[in-house]
Amino acid sequence: MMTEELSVQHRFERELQPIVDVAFRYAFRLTGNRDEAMDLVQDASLLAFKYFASYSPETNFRAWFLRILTNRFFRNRERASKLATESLDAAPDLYLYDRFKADGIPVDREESVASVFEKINEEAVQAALAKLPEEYRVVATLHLVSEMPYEEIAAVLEIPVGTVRSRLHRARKQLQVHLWELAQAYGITPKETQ
Amino acid sequence: MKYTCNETFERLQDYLDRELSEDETRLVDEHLSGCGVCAEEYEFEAMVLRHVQCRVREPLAPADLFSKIQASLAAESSAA
Repeated sequence: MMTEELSVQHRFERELQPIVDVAFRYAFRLTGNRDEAMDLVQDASLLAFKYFASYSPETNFRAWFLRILTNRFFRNRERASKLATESLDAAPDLYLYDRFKADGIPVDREESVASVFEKINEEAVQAALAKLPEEYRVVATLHLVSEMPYEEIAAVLEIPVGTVRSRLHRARKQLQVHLWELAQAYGITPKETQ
Repeated sequence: MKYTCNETFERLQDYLDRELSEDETRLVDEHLSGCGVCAEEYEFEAMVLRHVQCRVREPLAPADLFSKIQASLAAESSAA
């Protein structure tokens, strides 16, 4: 019995180890805190191990595990509904592109975009993400931390692929608005970037 | 068949995410190679996305996270 149990644990660990980094980054972006992210990944690991028998080896372990982690996150936050509908103001298309052009910042040079992002550090991007309604933030985070295909995000969140697509596109547009606000708050002007 | 600027623009986000079918991808490729305006918009969006991804993909998991999980699992297994 003990040998069999160890072997299950070994199989579980073999599946989990390659995705620990992605799971941690995702948890970190959800919680905004390293310690909470570690706790969340550990909690999700114990829960996933408990239900490992229900996982089919030929399916996607990453999607299965991140679904458990996401549900755990929402349960920890005592949300009645894990993905309640929240509104997101419609942001215009190509928002940053238009702002760059309007302010005379070259849009066709990597260095001009880089000069703006040099000042928008990891914490600032986190702050911009945090401004998104949660259901949009979750989709955007899954996509950004792992370049997860829409279908896999849909499997993690148990929502239709079309919903993933629309939430991701809207989140990305809104993120550009927040990033531009941050760029302005950080004093990035056309003069500095030319 | 060729895509117009509007048809290309409608597919830009899915193109960035490599979510288009093979045929659609080819049609967007063809349009971008012949349309400087759309190509500039696409290149800009791709640059922004790369920078955001780069920021979001920090930090790495703490080095001891996996060993802590292993210890918890071992404790759970022996308690069962």
